[in-house]
Order: sequence, then C-alpha cells, then structure tokens
Amino acid sequence: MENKNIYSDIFAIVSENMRSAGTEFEESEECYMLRCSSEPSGVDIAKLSKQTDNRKFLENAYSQLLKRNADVNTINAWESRIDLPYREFQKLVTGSIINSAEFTNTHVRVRNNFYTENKPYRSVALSGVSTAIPEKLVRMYRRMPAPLKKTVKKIMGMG
Amino acid sequence: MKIYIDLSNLMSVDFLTGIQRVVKEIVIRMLENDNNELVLMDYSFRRDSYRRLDNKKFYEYFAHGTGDRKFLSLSESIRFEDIQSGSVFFEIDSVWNSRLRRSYLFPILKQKGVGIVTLVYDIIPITHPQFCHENTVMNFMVYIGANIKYADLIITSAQATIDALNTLTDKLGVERKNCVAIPLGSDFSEKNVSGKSNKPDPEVVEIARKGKYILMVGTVEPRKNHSLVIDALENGLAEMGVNAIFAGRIGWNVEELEDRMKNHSLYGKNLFFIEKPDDVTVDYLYKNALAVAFPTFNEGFGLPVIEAFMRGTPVIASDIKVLHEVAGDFADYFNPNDSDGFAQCVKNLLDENIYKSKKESIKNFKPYTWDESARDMQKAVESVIKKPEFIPDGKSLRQLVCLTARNDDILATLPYIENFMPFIREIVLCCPDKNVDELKEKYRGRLVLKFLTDSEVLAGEPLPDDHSTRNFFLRCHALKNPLIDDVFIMTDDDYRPLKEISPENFIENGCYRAYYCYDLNLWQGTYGSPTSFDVSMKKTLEFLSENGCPTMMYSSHQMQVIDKRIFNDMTEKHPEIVSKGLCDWSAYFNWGVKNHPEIFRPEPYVSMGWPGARSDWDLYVVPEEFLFENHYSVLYEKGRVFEGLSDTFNEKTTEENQVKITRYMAELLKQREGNEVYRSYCNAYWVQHRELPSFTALCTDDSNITISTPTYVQFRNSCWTRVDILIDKSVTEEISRKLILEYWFSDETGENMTPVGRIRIDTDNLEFKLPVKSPVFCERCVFNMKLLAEDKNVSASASMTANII
Repeated sequence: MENKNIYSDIFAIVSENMRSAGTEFEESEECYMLRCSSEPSGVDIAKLSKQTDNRKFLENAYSQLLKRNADVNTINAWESRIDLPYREFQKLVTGSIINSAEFTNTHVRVRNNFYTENKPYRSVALSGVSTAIPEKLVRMYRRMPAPLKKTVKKIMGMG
Repeated sequence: MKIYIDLSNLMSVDFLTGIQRVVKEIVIRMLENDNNELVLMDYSFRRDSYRRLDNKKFYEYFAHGTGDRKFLSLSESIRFEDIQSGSVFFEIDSVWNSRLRRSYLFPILKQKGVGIVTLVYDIIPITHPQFCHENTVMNFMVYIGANIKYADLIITSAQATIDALNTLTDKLGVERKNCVAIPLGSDFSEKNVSGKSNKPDPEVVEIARKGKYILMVGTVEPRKNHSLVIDALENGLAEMGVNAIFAGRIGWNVEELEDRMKNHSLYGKNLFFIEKPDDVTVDYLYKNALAVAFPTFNEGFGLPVIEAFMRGTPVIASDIKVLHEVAGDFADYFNPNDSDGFAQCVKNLLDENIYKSKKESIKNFKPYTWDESARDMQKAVESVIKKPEFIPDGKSLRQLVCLTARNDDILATLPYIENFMPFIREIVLCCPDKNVDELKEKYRGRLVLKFLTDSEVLAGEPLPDDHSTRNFFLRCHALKNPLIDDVFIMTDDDYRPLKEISPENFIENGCYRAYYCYDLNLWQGTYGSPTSFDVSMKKTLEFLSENGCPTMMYSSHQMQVIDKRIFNDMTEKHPEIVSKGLCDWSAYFNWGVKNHPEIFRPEPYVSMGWPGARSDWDLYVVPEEFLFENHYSVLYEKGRVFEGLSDTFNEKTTEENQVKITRYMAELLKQREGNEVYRSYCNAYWVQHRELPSFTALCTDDSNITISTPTYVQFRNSCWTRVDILIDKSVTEEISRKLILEYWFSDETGENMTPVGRIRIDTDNLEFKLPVKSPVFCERCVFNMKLLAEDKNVSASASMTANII
C-alpha cells in the first residue's frame, strides 16, 4: 500500500462526507498531501516550488512555512501580484515569509531555497567562527581606533 | 517492557477535559505498575526531538496536585532514533494537531521494530467533518491514515468506534485493523479530584441553589448540541422552573452559539455558563443536578454519562448507538434533533415517583473503574509484543557459512577465525567445484571444512552473471541444504575477527544481534555510475518498502548470525526475489525485525574497513568498537591507514590489531569531527540566515543557469564532507541533460589549492550529496562551483568564502 494512496483516499472519503453535509473543504488536496509528507521542522523549497499555480503555491507556502493557513487578508494582499510569472511570485512569497518575524518563531529549517539572494563572492567577516588567528593580533585589533580598524578591514578584504 | 508515551497535548493545555482526563487517569495508573518502564515525553519543535518528563514529579502533580507543571520536563532529549527496538509506543493523547505528524514519526518507529498501540477515541472528524474545525479535520485525516497504515493495535472505548473504523478500512480497501474496545473508567475518588481547594466554587454553588437544573459538562462545540437545550428552555422548561448550566470551555465554530447564549434573555436567570470549573466544582454540579443532558450528535464514548451515573444523577441522552452501548437502559433517550422530545424527558423527571425510581435504578449501574480500564489497556499494550515462539540461544552456535570463489582470501582468513572464534567448530564453504581440492589440500587447521559446491546447490540451474544477483541466488539455494545448521554465522571470505569473539556477540539475552550500518532510504552509492552493490541495495529497498518492512542496511561487511528458518520463510513467501539480486543481509534482517521484533535487536555495526575509503560514503552511524575487519589489501599499502602492518595472520596479529583499531578509530573520529564542524556550521547558518545552507541550480527565464549558494561555507581541514546539491529539473528539461559539475578550492588570489573535481550529473538523481575534500593547510580560502552544459555554451559558476577549521 503506497504512502500516497491511503492519505488521498481518506481525503476523498471525507470530502464526500463534507459534501453530504452541505459543505466543502477550503484547503486543497495538494496542501493536505503536503501535510502528510511534511517534516516537523524542515521545509524543502524545491519541493514546494513544483506547484506552478500561484494561488496554490501561496496556500502551500503558508501551510508549510508558517504552519498555518493563509488568512483572508493575506490572500487579498497577494491578489495584485497573483498573475506574475510563477518563479517571480514564488521568490517574492518565500522571501516575504522567511524574512518575517512570525517565521523566526516557527523554528522551521528551510533548505534547497534556490530563491535565496546570491551575494557575489567577497570575503565575509567571520562571526563566532574560530580562525586560529593569533590571539595577540586579535587583542591588538580590538584596541585600534575605528578609522584604523576600517583600514585593516579593507586590507584584509573584509570591508 | 519499555513504553513510550507522547504527552505533548496534556502538557500544553491548562484545563483538563475529556481526552486529557483519560490520559491523566491511565498514565497515573501505569506509573503505579512497577513492571512498566515508562518513558513520558513532550515534543519540542525547537529541539526537533522529545523532552523526557520526570515520572515522579508527573505523578505527584497529576495524582495529588502537588508541585509545579513548569518543572515536569527534564533536560534529557529523546531523538526519534533513540526509541528502542522492541519497545512500545503507546499513543494515548490527542496528538493529531502536533507538528510531529504521525505520517512522519510512525515509519521511523517501524524501522526500529517498535510496536505502536493507539487509543482512538472516535473518528468523528472523518465521519462528521462538518462538526469540526477544518484544520483539525485535515490533521486528523493524516493521523488516522498513519494509524491505519502502521498501528499494531487500536484501542477504542466503544464497539461503535471499531465499527466506524471497520467501515472506513472497508471503504479504503485495506485490511481491517486489529482492534479492542476497552470502556473508560469514571470512578470518583480522591485521586480524581484535583483542585485548588477542597470546596466547590461558592459562586457556582449559589447558581446551583437557584433551582433545579439540567447540567451539560464538556466543551461547547457544534457537535455537543447545546443549542437544543437552549431551545427547550425557551419553549417551556424555563417557565417550569428548570434551569440549564453548561460547564466547560468554549470550543470552536461556536461564535454564533456563544453569542446566542450570552446575550439570551434567560442568561443569568435560567441559563448559566461556568467556564473551566475545577474537578471539585464539577463534582458538586453533578451531584446536585436534576439530570445530566447529553444531546450530542456523535460521540466516541460519553464520559459525562458515566460520571453522572457514578454520582447517582439521571441522564437524558441522544438516541445514538454509542450512548446505548455506554448507558444501556439506564438513560432516557431522545432524538437529538427534537427539542420537544428532550423537554418531555425532562418533564418526566419532574414527577417525584418517576425520579425516585430512576435514581434507584441507577444504583445498579456498574461502570468500569479507572483501575480496570488501565489494567485492560496495559494488557492490550503488552499483547503487541509477541511472546517469542522460541528463544535464541548462543550455546548451539558452532558453524560458519561462507560464500567464496577466492581460495587465497578464505585461506588467509581462516587462521583469524581459528584463533579468535574458539566456539566455531566447522565452516561450510559454498564455492565452485573446482576450488574444493585446493582448499582441502592447503588448509591444515582445526576447523572442519564442509563443502557445498555450486553444482550441488544449483542442481542444474544456471548461475546469474551479475555479482550481487549470483550471490543472493546461491545463498537462497544453499540455505535450504540440511548441511547448514538452523542458526549459524554468515560471513564472506574477507571478514576477519580482530579479537576474541564469543557467541554473545551474536546472540544475547534471547535476541539476535542485527548490526546495521546505514539506512537504505538514504543510500546514494556511487553517484552517476551505480555499482552492482548499489543496484542490489535499490532492489532491496523496493522489496522491503512494498512489504511494509523497515529499511535499514545490514550489509555491514562483518559476520552476522542468521536463523535459516526465518530466511527460508522469507524466500518461501516471496520466491520471486531469489533471482532478483537483493542484498541477503538487509532483506533477511529487516524481514526478521518486522516479523519477529521480539528476538531481533538492531544495533550499530562493529566492522572496520567499511567504508574502505572516507570518500566512498559518509557515516550514518559511528561504530563504538571494532570486532571485525573488512579486509582490503589496498589499506596496507604505503600512505594508507594500515601501512607497515601485516595483513596475514602471525604471532604479532593480536598486538597489531590493536594498532589497526587505534589508527582506524582515529580516522573515524576525524571524520566525525568533520561532520560535527559541518553540522554546527549549518546550525549557525540557519540562525543567521533563517535557512540551511543549500547549493542549488535553476534555469532562469532567459534559458541560463543560476546557481544559489550559501554566502560562506565551513569545513574541517583535510576532511571529506558531503554537501547537499540540488539541480532543479528545469535545468535538465530546458537547457541540457549533459551537465557537468566542477568544484575546487582556491586561495583568495584565485590560484587552485585542490584539483578540480568533476562529476557528471545523473538526470535521474538530481538531488545528491557531493563529497568534497577540504584543503590541508589553510584557514580561509574560496570554494568554487561551476555547472556547465557539455553540449551547449551555457554555464554558471559561484564562489564563496570557505572557512577551514
């Protein structure tokens, strides 16, 4: 019995029960199937991005990244951009969600985010990473006046 | 028996109703059972693991109301992989809304041979989804699907729920689940009553004293049908001096009802809502009510019915199957859509004689007690762990069976076996006919050599060409031969014991020790050009997945104990696999763990020399000790790990093996450090950038390739690290299927520090791990990647700072 089949079969049965009671699901089957295969703390953007329908992508992105459904205000806010090419739309939505304060609290670990902004190579200042630079030099650097620190950084390519 | 219980929801709610009351009563009693080794847990999404709860403090808080709920969690984390094989995961809390979906968790538990027992209270979100919040319905569908697929036993509180489950599984076309109905308890004792004081809320007492009242206990939600009682009040009950008290909390989808109730003209006079009363107050309300109303449209059990009867209070209940099962003839029934019918039941009870007679009859109601309920649930949980049909015993272990076509290799290995495995008396060699004479002539040791030649084993059947297919084929046939003991140790001709081995290394405490080295689901093999071994792993994974077996890799390149009866059971039930070239080790052990979890004990492998080279594949588990060597001559060459040591048995072997172990362990530890450095970098990167570092390639709108990389990477020096690469399908579909990925380290001036690595992208496998070896002597350099289409003038490259630690 395939993983997918039992969950989607259950969806079909319950949808029928909803219809008999005169109502329908608001959430799509696809979004539901993403719930079935979701990890507790990880989201694969490459997998999410396979959905090229912008409305469905919006629904899925909120469900997976923020662990809640998109509310009416959110949907309305994105309506004006709903006809953008799907890659552009997906980049905007994922960027907006990932950079939100709410997302910080979800502790969701995003991976394979090919919409992440690629910064051109430059020497990146090391923060909290051991570099084995002699301690003496580090102490000297810290005692330097700000303009001199700036020059040192420039020389080191960290400016 | 170890029992794991996820109590995440109980720990998160501030008010116990329904399910949480059940969980509390059952778990407290299970804690009182000294035979249980209970592991209580609370899921933390921040840690992405469970936190263990303090059993003693839990008991004191929930049984006696002492202590502080804030201090129930311990600092100890329990990762999903730590949940022990052969234990039981008892699912009793309402966890369907948890982020830890059971569709994710249960397959992991099944990998380990953990039994799953679930208490399903009801399946109302499936049968009557209109009564539930849509989010709950969605989550519940995932939950029930996982239980149908993976649970070993489902406990319900009523036969009606089993009937509903059977209807569902019949509709799904799957086998009905193993179910048992165990009624819930409801006895009232000091244990049950927890409240801040021993007296009921005086405000509530005042309300109760206003007049006769009908009581409804429970969450206010559409399914419970509170509006029917309000209708009945409006239509005459209030005029007759009957009040209604709703005790519980406001649930979901009831904004309209809440509005109606709180703005009703009778609110505060004949209609009252008591929000979240404590147990003492609820007990008072039960005892002094005219009757308890239960006009629900659907129920899993109906605890308030039993709780009312226990206090001698009559019940007016919906005429539905489950309530008849629970209340029998002791309740009065009405159609839940008919408020007049309900009102009539109430009016009947206003007659003194009828009321007296009703109260008298209720005394004969004999409900289950919580002790009985917990006792039966305990038995049900224990039943999942099968009593073994036989208990493996290492005393009879004396035979080694080896498939070999290489006389030199087996002859070099035999002295190790002779010297380090004194309990082995004989070895059965499955070999080509032409190998026998030489082996008989050259071997002069103490072991008795017996032979099962290819011609004897095959009996005329042709031998498959492919290496892996041939080996599996031969083993399947050989194991049917009576020359092979029921329980024996299987080996290849190059597995050498490193120190004295005893039968306990194979069979201990009545269990076969099953040494795994990987997870077949994660096995990548040689990217782009799978070997015969890799193909065999893939086929094994398919077979195991199709048959609901765990999927660990047991091809650990060391000796392992095999029970021929279990192996043959597998090939008899699936004769088609004999010529499919599966991995015999993985197929057998996973089959064993699934069908006989009580006598198999999966544990990390103890073999040195697997992988042969750090670049071959990454570690899934790190062996804690080495008992065997998977012999590779190349490892004894100059510049390799065993340089200078002998690879044939001699008087110094014991001493040299210690040296080998130390050297190899040092390499493994370095590898583990390398993995730790990379993991800590990933965590730090995630904290900084809110995403894990990823290397991805995508096709742009103008048919170019764009590569996304992290802003920096971090590796341990001179170490193999696997980085996750993803090539989006759009690149292969819209640009080219002939893609090459190049990668190298350079210094900050651009001068190469390592050779350029090159791999051809496998278009069937666009997500893979790239093994990268970092440079030796540097602190910071540049990591470069370039993806190019061989047949088109399209490429993309990216560079990032690489911190080498």
